[in-house]
Amino acid sequence: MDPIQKLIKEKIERELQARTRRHFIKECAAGMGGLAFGSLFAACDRKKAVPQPTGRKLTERDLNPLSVLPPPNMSRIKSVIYLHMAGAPSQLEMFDYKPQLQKLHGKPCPESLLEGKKFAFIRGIPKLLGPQSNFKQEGESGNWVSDYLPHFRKVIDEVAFLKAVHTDQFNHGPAQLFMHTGTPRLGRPSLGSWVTYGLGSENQNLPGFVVLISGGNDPSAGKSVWGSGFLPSIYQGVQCRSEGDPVLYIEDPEGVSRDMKKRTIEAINAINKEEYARYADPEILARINQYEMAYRMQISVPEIMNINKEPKHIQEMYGVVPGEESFANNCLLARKLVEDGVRFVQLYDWGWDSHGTDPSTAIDLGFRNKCRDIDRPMTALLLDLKQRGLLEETLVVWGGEFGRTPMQENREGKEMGYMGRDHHGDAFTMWMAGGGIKGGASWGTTDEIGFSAVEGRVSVHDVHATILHLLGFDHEQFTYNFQGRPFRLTDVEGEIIHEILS
Amino acid sequence: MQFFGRLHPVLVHLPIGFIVFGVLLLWTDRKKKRYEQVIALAFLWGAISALLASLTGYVHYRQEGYSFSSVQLHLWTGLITTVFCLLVYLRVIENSWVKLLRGASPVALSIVLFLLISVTGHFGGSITHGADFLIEPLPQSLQRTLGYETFEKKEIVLNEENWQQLIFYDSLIDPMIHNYCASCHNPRKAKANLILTEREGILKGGENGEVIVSGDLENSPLHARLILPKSHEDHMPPSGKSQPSKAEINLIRQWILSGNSFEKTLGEAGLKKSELITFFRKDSLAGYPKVNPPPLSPDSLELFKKSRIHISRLSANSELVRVSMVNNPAFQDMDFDPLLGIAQNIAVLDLGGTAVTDSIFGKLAQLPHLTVLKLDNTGVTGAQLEKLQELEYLKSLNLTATPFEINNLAALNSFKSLRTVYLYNSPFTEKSGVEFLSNSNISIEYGNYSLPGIPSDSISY
Amino acid sequence: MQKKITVALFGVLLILAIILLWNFLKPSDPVDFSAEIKPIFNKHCISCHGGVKKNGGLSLLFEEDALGPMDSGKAAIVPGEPGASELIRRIKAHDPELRMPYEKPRLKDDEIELLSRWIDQGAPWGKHWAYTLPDKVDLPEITQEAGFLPEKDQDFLQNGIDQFVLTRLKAEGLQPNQQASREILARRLALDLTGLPPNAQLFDAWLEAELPYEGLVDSLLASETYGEKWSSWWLDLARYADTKGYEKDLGRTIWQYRDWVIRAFNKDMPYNQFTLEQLAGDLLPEPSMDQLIATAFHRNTMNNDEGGTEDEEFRVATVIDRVNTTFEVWQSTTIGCTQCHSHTYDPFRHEEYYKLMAFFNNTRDEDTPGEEPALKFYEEEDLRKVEKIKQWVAKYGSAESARKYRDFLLFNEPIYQAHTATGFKNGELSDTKWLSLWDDGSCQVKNVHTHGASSLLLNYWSNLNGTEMTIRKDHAGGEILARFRIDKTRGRIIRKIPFKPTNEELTLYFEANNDGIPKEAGTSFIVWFGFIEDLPGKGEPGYTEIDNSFLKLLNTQTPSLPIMAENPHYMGRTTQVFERGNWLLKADTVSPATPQVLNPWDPEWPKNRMGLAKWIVSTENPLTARTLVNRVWHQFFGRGMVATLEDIGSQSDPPSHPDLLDWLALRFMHEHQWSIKGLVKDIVMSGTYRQDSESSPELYERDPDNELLARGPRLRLSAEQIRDQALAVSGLLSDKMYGPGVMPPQPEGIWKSVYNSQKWVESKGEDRYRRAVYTYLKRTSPYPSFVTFDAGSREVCMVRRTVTNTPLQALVTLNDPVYLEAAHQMAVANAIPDDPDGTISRLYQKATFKKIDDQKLGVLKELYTVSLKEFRADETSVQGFLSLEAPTEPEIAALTIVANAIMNLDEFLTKS
Repeated sequence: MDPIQKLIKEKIERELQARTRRHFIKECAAGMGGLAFGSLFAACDRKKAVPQPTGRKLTERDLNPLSVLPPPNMSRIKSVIYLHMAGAPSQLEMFDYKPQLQKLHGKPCPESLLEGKKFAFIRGIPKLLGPQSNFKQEGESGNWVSDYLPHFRKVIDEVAFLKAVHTDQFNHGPAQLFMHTGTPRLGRPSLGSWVTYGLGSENQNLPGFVVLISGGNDPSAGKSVWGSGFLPSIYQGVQCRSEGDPVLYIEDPEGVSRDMKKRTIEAINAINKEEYARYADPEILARINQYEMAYRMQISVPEIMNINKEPKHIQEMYGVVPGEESFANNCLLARKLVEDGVRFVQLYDWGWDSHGTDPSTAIDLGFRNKCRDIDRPMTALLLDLKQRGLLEETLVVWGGEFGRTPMQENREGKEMGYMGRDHHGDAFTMWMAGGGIKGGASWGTTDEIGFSAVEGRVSVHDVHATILHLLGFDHEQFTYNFQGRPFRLTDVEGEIIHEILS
Repeated sequence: MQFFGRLHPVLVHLPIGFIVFGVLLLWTDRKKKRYEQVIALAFLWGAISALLASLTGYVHYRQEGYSFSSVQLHLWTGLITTVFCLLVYLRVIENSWVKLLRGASPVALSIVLFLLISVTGHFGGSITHGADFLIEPLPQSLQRTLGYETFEKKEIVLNEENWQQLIFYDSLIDPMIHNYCASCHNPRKAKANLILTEREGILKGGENGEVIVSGDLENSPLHARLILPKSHEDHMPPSGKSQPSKAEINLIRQWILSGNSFEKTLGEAGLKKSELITFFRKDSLAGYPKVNPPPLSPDSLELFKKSRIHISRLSANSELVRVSMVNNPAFQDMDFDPLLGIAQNIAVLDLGGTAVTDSIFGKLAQLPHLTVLKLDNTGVTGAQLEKLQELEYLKSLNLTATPFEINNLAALNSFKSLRTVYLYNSPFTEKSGVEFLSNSNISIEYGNYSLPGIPSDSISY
Repeated sequence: MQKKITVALFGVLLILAIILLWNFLKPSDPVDFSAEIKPIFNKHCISCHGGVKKNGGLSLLFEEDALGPMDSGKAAIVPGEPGASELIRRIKAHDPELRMPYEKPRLKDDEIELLSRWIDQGAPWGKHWAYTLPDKVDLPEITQEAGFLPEKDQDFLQNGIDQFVLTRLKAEGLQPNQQASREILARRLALDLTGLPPNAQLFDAWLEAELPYEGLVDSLLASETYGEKWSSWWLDLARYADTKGYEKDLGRTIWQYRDWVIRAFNKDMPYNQFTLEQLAGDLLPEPSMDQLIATAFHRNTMNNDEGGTEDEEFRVATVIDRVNTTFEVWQSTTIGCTQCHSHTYDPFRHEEYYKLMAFFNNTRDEDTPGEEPALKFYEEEDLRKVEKIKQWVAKYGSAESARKYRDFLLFNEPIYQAHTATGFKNGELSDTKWLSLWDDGSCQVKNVHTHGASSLLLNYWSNLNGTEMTIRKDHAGGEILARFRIDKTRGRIIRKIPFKPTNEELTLYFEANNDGIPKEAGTSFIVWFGFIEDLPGKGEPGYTEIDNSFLKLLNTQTPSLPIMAENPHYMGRTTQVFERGNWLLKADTVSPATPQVLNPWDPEWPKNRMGLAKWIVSTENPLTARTLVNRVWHQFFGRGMVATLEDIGSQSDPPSHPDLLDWLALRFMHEHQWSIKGLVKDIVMSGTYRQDSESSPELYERDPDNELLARGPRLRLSAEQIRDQALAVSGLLSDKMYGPGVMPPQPEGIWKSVYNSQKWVESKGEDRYRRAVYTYLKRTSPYPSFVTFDAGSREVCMVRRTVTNTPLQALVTLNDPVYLEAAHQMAVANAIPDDPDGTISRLYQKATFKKIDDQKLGVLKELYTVSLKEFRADETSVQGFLSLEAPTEPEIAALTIVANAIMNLDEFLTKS
């Protein structure tokens, strides 16, 4: 043995012995009645705190962050389609039938209701505004739906209503952030990002979280409502567009054939493999994977985004207009995407902010048109999912970021030319349908004029907890560590709404 | 002083040793009487060391802030032991002071002494190690037979059939009280002199008066305290203890409103099913079979991944899997064979959009736990469908967009658990084929929905 | 004999007894609170007994609370007496109702033992290492040991840094890598210091060894591109963007601040000065324009123009953001938690948050659409006029008055914003922004100070003629203070209106009358009004000229920039604690103070932002220098010595090289006098930095994040670097510096904000090819390819970008026209006729600065050959190739494909 090595070995052995001896004596002392006497010296020696680098093996997620992970609990659904009506539709003209409000139409709002309340635009004492649509009970459930949504009656027994959702935000941006990220401020991951992070995505040729926009504008809170916050950006929503490239930069440039692109990627990956042999950096392997997936996406995405290939009767059922950006097209795309294993599809339809400042935002005009524009497509979506057996493994959620007042808006105290309703977060309607949902249920009731919840009040956090529950998560355990603390989508709140679960 | 006190745990072992030694000697020497002096010595030292132990014990108790109630039994038995040990010594040396003891046999005395020291030791041990130190490792059933109450949260479960006939108090209120209140308000502990585990106790109330006024929520602390803000001093259960859910609080509410009867049934109390929804038994397995298939090996998973067969567990703690060919449209019958290696594990199988044919059914029949089967957009006609009838769990069968033949429907009649069959976009018209179907549990989804145009579709307001 | 034995036996026993006794009595190993006890508390106890919940009246966050009596009257911790400590009793308890942690498994025996021992030792409450800074750190000595070649040591040991790194490596039984090759080193260094690949001249000089390594470092540090690279990093922290954020997300002119940052880096402004100017430049004695610009740091906060929002709510949100950002940027502390409750883990209290907020709560900005105060950039001639007015006031009035005049001219403060008006009758706050009275309308503004001014300055516009406006004292029947006519204006104007001088605090009652107008029509729209003491020197020659010049300057339209300005004392706000962080629930009033646990406050410092800035850059502050060092280190190695870059505190990861962190922090403050370039140079001169980044799967498994630094850094380039590099190697990059944000090509239809008509107007000429730092950044819709490569949207401070690896990134560099244009340009510029091998080698070398090996050449040549064949076979593909205007030769097209492939190689996208 090399003399120096021998020396080292001896030294190590000596130390080991010494340590064992000390340890033994200390143990004995502790055993004999805990007679350890302490010194009062204590230093805050940060050297003790130096961590050992935690070696780890490569996991599948290192190479493919979208690889599928099982949920903690069994779940019935595997995908979510979330229809968000940006601008907040009026529950009082759609689902929350308030005959008493009709009787009180035009009367000044009782002051007791206004005490301590803040409104975006209503000032002073506004007048009550009766429902502008007619309601009927439909289906076996006998749930109410208005004549603004004539087609939707057909699926009324598929959906479960939440009629007393509440939020404490009454400006669009913060309320949308709250609805989609669980907090009214920026910086948290969206629901879709959480889900994609937690479960990955089955189809390796498509993004796991797809966002589709209609109505001509992004939602008020901008792209942050599908942002990944502190989660890695691969979990953020990928916006697929009906105009231009369906996904940015997915089309091959002019003059470059598919084959040529394939060869380019093969060349890149061949050289990258050589690099890996030298640097052993797993990021290189991941990059090789991502280039392969990019190539596959270049084929799959344009194909799936092409709704022209759908049979005529399906196109008609949704009421699609090929080549345009519409809610109907997006509903059809949503079905195609979940059918092909996309985990989370988020639809935003802008233009629901019915203040009554002009015809397009009047409750009985522009708003009615908006209802017409979603009525057929969302009904068709539920029916189409149903007939393909997809509804049993998909959750469909519908809602806005808050509701509207039972009072007519009197912007800055002025009488307005059109009938409008102001922002209102105390009670509004959402619905869910699909796997695990009790079709025909209705949970929560509002008071006689639909101002606030009387029973079955649920918060935005409760809605989130329920969605996560359906996907097999315990919302209290589903966390991500950031800045030294675990974060949850539901913050410190949230109760599962069992009343609408089957 | 504190040091002296802390010698107690060491010193206590001396009298134990001496006394046990003495007792053993007495026993072995009861005939020959050869060691009487030694025996006497043992008890003498026993008494001395016991005195020492008692003294240090007292100091220990004063110094370390134990409450008197927690040490009193140990203290008294310790002192008694000390005195008794001295008495035994005196008896052994036949000291004239203890004439009274003459009649008692030393052996009998020593056995009493042995019992005394055991009891003392036990009480001492209870202070440092907890009263149930010895009991704890025993199985719970044995503990109960020994008379120790064990705390187990009672699961509150109702079932769909007979819930209205259940006694409100017995089936819901009592278990709930057990779960949230009993740990402090039981006959042994009775905090605030309140016992909630018995009917009388609930009616009697505690030191702050009654806890229930029938029909009056505000004056019934049993309810009022539950709904106080958690930060409120009077909130019950105290913050930090597990809290009842909204639905559970509603039960207390309804019980009080309905007159807090111990006999009324849920139906009589007027409870709505919607209020109880959270208590009905939920199938936590989401309809999947309760089986434990063999664990999957990472290697085989890797292999399937390479052949673009997607496999994922249904949940993190289950070995049941979902298999899909979402990225593998070229998949055909013969590619299926490797999957038979994990036949026990497959609960969901999605072969939609692949090149499989009717001969796949023979293979599928070997998947005992198959629950959901998707064969949509394939070429199956259902010719060998009957092979699946042995599948015990098959619930959902998707044949959307297949050339399925109508007369093959008859095969479904003998399926055991089948509920839904999707036949949209196959050569069926609405409702056709029902003549072949006698199994009323099966519903067929023919699809082909349409939304005919209505005038309002084209009105612009 | 027997006696002897007895004596011997007795002796042995005695010795044994002594040994035993000594062992009982000798001090047990001192328990380290921060390293051993605090983690147990944090893991098991703090969620119920911490800053948020204090169950049973126990909090283990602060010493006073932990050692004090609980609700039960007992003490959880009695120092020196574990037996009497309720804490020990409860963790040992067997009754599940008593045992802590409640409803959780029992603590492990060694944890219980540790806690008992700690209490036994007197329960000393340590201060966490992060909150104390040593005075001095000694360099570790490197001793020679076997298995390690001294020459290699010598190669590696370039400066102090390496001594620390090598010490840890040796302890772990690892060796450093050898030095990287010259080519790799030059590229690494240039990308790290300037964000660009090295320029040819410098590269050649270095390669030929004409330039020593230090010379290379110095040249790069001296180049102006250095500031452009490092500003990207700082702008993430400063949340710099070109729009206001929230729903409308309208544009904002604040690029002058970005330019200030670039210049500050380039002139290596010492970090303490850099800090002072940004946090409190306006409070310096005679702030220069630049120092005022610097304060825009905290005007990068978002501003909500959405209709129906409460300005005060968003002003408060802004102030909160400033507190949080200041602490994130300078102190690596997420103080934001304490907004609602005492910090759960770190020793900061709920009230302390509001004490910090009090420093920031007194600035003039109020979430108004005009983003006042805004610094006006006058033309040179006008600036002279400003100076003249200032001199006039100084001459006839006081220096203080002169400053007031200058401030009013430069940024129109102090003023009263329209939204302070209340009690509207026949009037409204139009669009919740502007004071607008209808016919017969009135409203009030309370707490107005006029300082005896005989005129009112009114900023308004009107679309109607013939309104009579009256301002009265207090109410409708009050004394008339001003009466004037309002007519139609051409846009907004600032008008001087005679006003009855008074020195009291007033309530102004505004009335408007105009009979000839429609109902509910606004007679005027007032943006703000203000008072400034009368111009002194009345009657002196030139007075009128000066007076007119003043009003004219006020009405001069100039570019402007939001800055910070402090409230005058009479407009000061009090700061109250918000219960549970809710701004509507106000509790105790607090005054400015810094957290107890950090460095002490010097009474000399003013209790305002200036004082706070001085406190932050005090050499006693334990976090400022460490934070900076840690983050600069992260820029080079992709990992901070404290890996949690955003958090240095009790929840953060402990540092990988604690002594090195402190050594560098101390050196940064004392030897480099806060020079960032000095720090940067220390790092890049080290042998640690110069190592090759080669690794092996074994080493990766041992140390995946390169915490031990046994190899050089290997990191994917940032979003900015990826673009800049592509433009640079193709020769397209413009070296134009500064100015408004530019809009390089981006796909159609990306911008879609509500109520916002602003459009992406593609820049022309060299502005298309500017460095990424100049790209216009819209918060709700940032430049798409940057976001794909993990750049943020800069709504809030971003300490660290998560580096991801996604297929969307591949699509950008493969298909984004920007990258295709670069590839094409590169092919055109480097093509050697009839020498594809030579050309490909050249392309590769231009891109990666390395010589190509045969294997890679083979792969690329194959790609070239097949592509060429295809282009030749199909002429149409060359016709419209890349939608270029002129058709391309098949050879160039094929080379473009090759260049595109090269620009997608891992080695191109990665700094190695």
